[in-house]
Amino acid sequence: MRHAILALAFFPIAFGQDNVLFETKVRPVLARNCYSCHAAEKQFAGLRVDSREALLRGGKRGAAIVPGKPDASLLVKAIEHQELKMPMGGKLKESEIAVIKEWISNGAAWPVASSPAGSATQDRYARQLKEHWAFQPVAKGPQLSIDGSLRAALKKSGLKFSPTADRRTLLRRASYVLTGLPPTVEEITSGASYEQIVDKLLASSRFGEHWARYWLDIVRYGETRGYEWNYEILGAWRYRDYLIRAFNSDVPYDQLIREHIAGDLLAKPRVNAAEKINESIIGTAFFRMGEAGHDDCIQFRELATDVVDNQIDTLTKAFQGMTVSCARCHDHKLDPIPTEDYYGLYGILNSSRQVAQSIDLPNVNAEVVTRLRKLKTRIRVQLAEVWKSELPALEAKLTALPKAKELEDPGYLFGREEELAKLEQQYRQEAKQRLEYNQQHFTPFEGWTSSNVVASRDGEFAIAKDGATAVKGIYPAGSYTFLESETVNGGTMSPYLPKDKKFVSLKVMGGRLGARRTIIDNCAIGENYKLLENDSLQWLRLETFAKQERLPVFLELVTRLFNPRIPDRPGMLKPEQLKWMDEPRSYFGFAGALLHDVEAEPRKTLDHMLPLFEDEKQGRYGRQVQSVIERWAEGRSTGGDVIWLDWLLRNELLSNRKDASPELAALIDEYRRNEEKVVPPRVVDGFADAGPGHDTPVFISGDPKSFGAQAPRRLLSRILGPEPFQTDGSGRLQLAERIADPNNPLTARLMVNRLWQQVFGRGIVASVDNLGTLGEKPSHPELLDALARKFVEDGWSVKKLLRAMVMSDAFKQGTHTTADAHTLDPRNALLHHYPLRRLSAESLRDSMLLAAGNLKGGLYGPSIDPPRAEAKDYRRLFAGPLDGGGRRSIYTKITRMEGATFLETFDAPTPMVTRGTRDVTNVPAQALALMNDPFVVAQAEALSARVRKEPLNRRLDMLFQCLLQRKPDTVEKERYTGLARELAAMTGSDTDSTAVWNHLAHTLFNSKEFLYFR
Amino acid sequence: MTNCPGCTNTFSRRDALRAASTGFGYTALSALLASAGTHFPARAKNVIFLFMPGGVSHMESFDPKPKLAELDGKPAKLDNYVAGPNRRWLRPLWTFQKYGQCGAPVSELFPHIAQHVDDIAIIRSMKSEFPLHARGNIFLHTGRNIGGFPSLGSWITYGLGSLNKNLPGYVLLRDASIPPGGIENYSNGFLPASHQATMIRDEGNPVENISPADKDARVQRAKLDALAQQDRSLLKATGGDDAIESSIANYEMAYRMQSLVPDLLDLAKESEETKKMYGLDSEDKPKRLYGLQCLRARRLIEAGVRFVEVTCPNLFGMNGTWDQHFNLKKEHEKNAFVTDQAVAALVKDLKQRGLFDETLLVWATEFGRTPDSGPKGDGRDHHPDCFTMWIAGAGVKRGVTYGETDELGNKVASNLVTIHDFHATMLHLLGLNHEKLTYRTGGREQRLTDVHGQVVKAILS
Repeated sequence: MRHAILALAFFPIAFGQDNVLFETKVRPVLARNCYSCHAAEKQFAGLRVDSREALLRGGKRGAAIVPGKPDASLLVKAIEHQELKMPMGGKLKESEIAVIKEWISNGAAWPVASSPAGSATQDRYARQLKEHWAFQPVAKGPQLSIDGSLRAALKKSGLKFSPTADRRTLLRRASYVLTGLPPTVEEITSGASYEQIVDKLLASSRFGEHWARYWLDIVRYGETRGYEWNYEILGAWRYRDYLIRAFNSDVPYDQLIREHIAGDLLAKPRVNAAEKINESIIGTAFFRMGEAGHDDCIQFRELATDVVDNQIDTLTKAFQGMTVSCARCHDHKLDPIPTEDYYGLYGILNSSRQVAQSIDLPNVNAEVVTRLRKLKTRIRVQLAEVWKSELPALEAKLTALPKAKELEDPGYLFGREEELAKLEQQYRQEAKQRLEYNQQHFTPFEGWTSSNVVASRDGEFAIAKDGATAVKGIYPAGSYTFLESETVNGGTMSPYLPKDKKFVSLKVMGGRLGARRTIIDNCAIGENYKLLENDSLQWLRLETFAKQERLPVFLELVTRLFNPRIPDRPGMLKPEQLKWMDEPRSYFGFAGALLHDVEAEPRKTLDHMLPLFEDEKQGRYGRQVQSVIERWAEGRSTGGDVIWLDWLLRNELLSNRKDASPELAALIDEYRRNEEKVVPPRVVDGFADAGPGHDTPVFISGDPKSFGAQAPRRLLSRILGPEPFQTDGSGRLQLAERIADPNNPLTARLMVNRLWQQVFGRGIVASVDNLGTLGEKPSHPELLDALARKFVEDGWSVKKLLRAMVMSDAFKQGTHTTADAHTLDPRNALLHHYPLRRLSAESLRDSMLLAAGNLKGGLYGPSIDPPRAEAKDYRRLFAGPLDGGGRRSIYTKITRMEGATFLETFDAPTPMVTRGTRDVTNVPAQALALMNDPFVVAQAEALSARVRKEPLNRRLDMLFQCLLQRKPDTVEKERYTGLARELAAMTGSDTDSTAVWNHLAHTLFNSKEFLYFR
Repeated sequence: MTNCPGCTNTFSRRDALRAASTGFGYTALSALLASAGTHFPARAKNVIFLFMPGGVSHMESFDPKPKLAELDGKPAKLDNYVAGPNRRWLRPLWTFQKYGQCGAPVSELFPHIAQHVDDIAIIRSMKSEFPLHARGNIFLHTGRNIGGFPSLGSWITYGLGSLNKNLPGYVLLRDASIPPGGIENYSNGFLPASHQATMIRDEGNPVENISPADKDARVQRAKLDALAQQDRSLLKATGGDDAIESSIANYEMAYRMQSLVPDLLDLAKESEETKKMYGLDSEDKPKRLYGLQCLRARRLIEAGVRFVEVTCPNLFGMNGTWDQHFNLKKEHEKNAFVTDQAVAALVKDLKQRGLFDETLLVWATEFGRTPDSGPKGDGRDHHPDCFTMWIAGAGVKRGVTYGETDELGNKVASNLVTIHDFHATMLHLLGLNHEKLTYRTGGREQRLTDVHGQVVKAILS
């Protein structure tokens, strides 16, 4: 509102109309055609055209516009090719030129902010907020029963429920609806009540697999990133397993929301003690399931903004049933969503880091790491003993060393005893100068955030993992992933790089695919990364990209398992680097970062040399080394000591051999044996906060290079309230709370409706992903509200709600309908019968495997590549086994660029946008697949083999029971016996031959009774 | 929602298709398809879309730039994504000659197409948005820069329906490679799955699941007959559910497709002369395969397929066979050798058979190539700011060249044509108003041209 008033104050002309003209016609033309040379980034001929003031000021040739006088305006002369020929890319269309002229002749109004828009829009908002059902609070009132509500509505139309379905039909229905698999014949013939069976289905682990698959549609779940190289989404399948566990253990839906949006930020994360993982953190992987490209995000700004757009789209459709991404370029045309709401969310997501996170609880390697640390303490003592015993020989070894050339070289003062007095002065002066130089030119860059890496003190060391060497190195304070084991992978990330320094230098080491990455504008798989290939700490100078004033940039040091660019695309890694892919070992070490403008390294300090001046001349080195060793043995090393120790080992002044003493050798052997037991961390691509978040401006017309007013971080300001989130972080936690709030009018209704749709085949609101004004109206609004209320009262329990639905009479109806009912309510919105429903792609495939006896029971684990006619390894489209290893379809890998064809033929979605309901198509390609796909034929043959183990007179029964959970009737018996005879004659075999039974099984696989449930 | 003229009042196109896709109202669908509504009389019935992936050099195909020969080797300073030191102008590597009555210049890369300049409309002022393959491809195919939206062919079959109910409306003739952007380039997006591309491979089993698992046709027939009985008794038991009814009908269609599709792809009835014209006698295998796909394209169009896209054999690199950052001379020459003859044959063949008056033939690429070269100096980089495509056939002016680029081939100088404009023009020729061909999803009426696009009237005949 404030912006509108400001705009009105500045431009006392008819605001509404001109604003619309400006935002829809004028600004886009200018932005598209002129901004690349005449806006914030470049000002050719001194001209900017991205504000009214700038146009009035003009460039070298004077004012660009004269308000009210288009023909006197240079801008018009340029675009009409009178004086200048602009834009460079070709003359504007006549219609565009006309618009610019009209705008100038109307006074060239330039609203301060693009939204809120004119008063017409405000009126529309007010009306919609007052009138549209979904924006009203969930109605309070007495609890309504499902059946009561439905019956009452039917009665009004003179209709009623269809008679109850028979037991087999009902159990088949309940089983498919709750678990995605058919019931067993034993369940059907058992004496168990329907209620008992429902409870068994709800408790089955198959329940979680089925509902997780449903939720994967909502979050456009994919496991590769598409674009050109189809990079892997790290640990995507762990998110799938997380969902299976969550649905099976009925994690409250509000908790699931919090975990999806801010699982990494929860004060009390949900812990899985058995798996030793932090469950909550996995939820945030939901944001990361979209498409993403590797190209340069500075040059191609849309690469970043499109990822965020997809995140906003998925977030708001999945949890709020709102199409907020419609407000990317302009205020939402149909719902009360101004474009600043879009950029409010943009700010939250742009403030969150897209990084890989370890989901391990700290106790995963605790036992072995404790043992390793204890061993290290003993090794240190042993090694110190060895070294002390070598002290008498030190002087001789020093003498043999080539004379040191640099002041900072610890050996420099050896053999220069005569000049000590002079040198002391030089040293003290130089030390001071160097310190001053460093202080003057370098600023420490602190506040890094780590995952699976802990800070270490000066003098920490690593044991060489094999070979004759004892110690890999002794290091100054910092973050080292490999101090216990190179198998311990991890990552650390910097705060955002400041915009007032040109360079950042890191003191780093690393190897085995350890890497440093520069993350620009949150582009998670950008090209700006390099493998670290130095085993001692060195300064690494990097650009800060300070010129990119608007883009957040940060640095990351990662090991292989934390690097989303690994495995990299073909040709990026050298053969000697590729060999490291075989094991999880990978590491980096990091001892500090500095910001600076000078194109130089900080100068090396001399403090570690000064103690030598404070001692007697004779034997100084021996005593110095001795005290360094003693302090190290006690774990009290200083930074200077580390320089000494490093120098001593590098110059072999002290031995660094495993067999320097038998005790040492034994300890190191024991250490190495134990080190093998360290397990690599489990990692997912998720979200993390690091430091304070930031608002982003509105991108005018969605153009990431033209900026409007800052958009405060908040959610659906008109619908849920205008207060910006109070936060020190990104705002995700507040976002999660705002969505999971029981008073949010959208959240519970949306989920209740989604579940209803899955159970009854049609939502109370048919447009399950859109509760907005363009969505459908609810068929039973009071019932929807009553269920939403109950859902919240029951602790957001999905299982309780589903149980209530499948226990209703409405669910138990038959599929028969009357002509009357069909005429009055052809879409069955009132539920006068239970609809006939085609199996989902997954249920179909799983049921085939089950009938064939090929379905493997286990849950969880890495996905299996789908079968493909040809593998395309260069796009990470690998070919898997025809039967998918006998796993349920949820374990088939969802690959972008080319999906699993069999599943997609039966409407499994491509993973691009939220799909709360799938299309249920009915196309010949499905018939062709069931007739000819080798997978189907193979399952039919396996079923046939199962059946043929039975005596001849039982086979047909068994065949029907495996597929349809019933025995054939007399007509069917005759039909199939006849077919068997016919086929036997054609194939020249007997009616009990393999060939004939293969055909019979294949025929029944094609039957509609198998393909549908009712 | 009545946004299509072919629809009755009770059913929108969308409703009808959605209902049909769930089986309800199958007959309504058939009726709709028979009437195949256009917004205004169509000039073209169907489309052959020849996609040259990777980016064909415009200044070395149809847009000569003699200035570059003068500048050759001198330092180049352009405002493009590869800008930097060590950039040098690169002279066109092939010479041009004027052809036909219209006198349009064509480079020696395309001697066969050159013979048909009087039949085609060359657009030199194409402009795309992204010098990136994945985006360029997706943009060219769907009018958007990210996946998830319907491809051109899907929109057209959605808008017009099928001309042959036994065949898919949208066919992609392809090789084994997957282009940047993936199969998403040919996706039906949010449109019903019946509008997805059916893929026909150049080698091996041409269509997935098309060859019967039952090698003995009698066996399959017997099984399907028993199946039909089985399904019909279910149909009875459920009181005549439409989904089951149409599912049964699909089996019959699928059964027919098993023989129809191989028949269509079988070239036995083509004369030796025709085969030769398409280069099927070539000793070069990729050339033979491309010729095969072009000839198939004509056969599919004849049989009533609405939209046929043909991709090129992928010979170089993984980002489209025309993507010559290096080795331009050798590799563009090879690509041209593989495709030129068959494309020309297609023009000739369509003309001979009178199909040129009802078919739209499009020669397209995702972007052009830069007028300058990197340090190696033997290739060109991606150039979306201006490039050339051509369009020919039904309703298109013949022997015209539309639009200009500057003397460097760097920017459009006049008559800019965006990808959206190009799409709008194609739809227009098919009798569809690009602003009215809509599908409501994600909270709005979606269009192929998003919120852009103007028909390029100047090239319409």
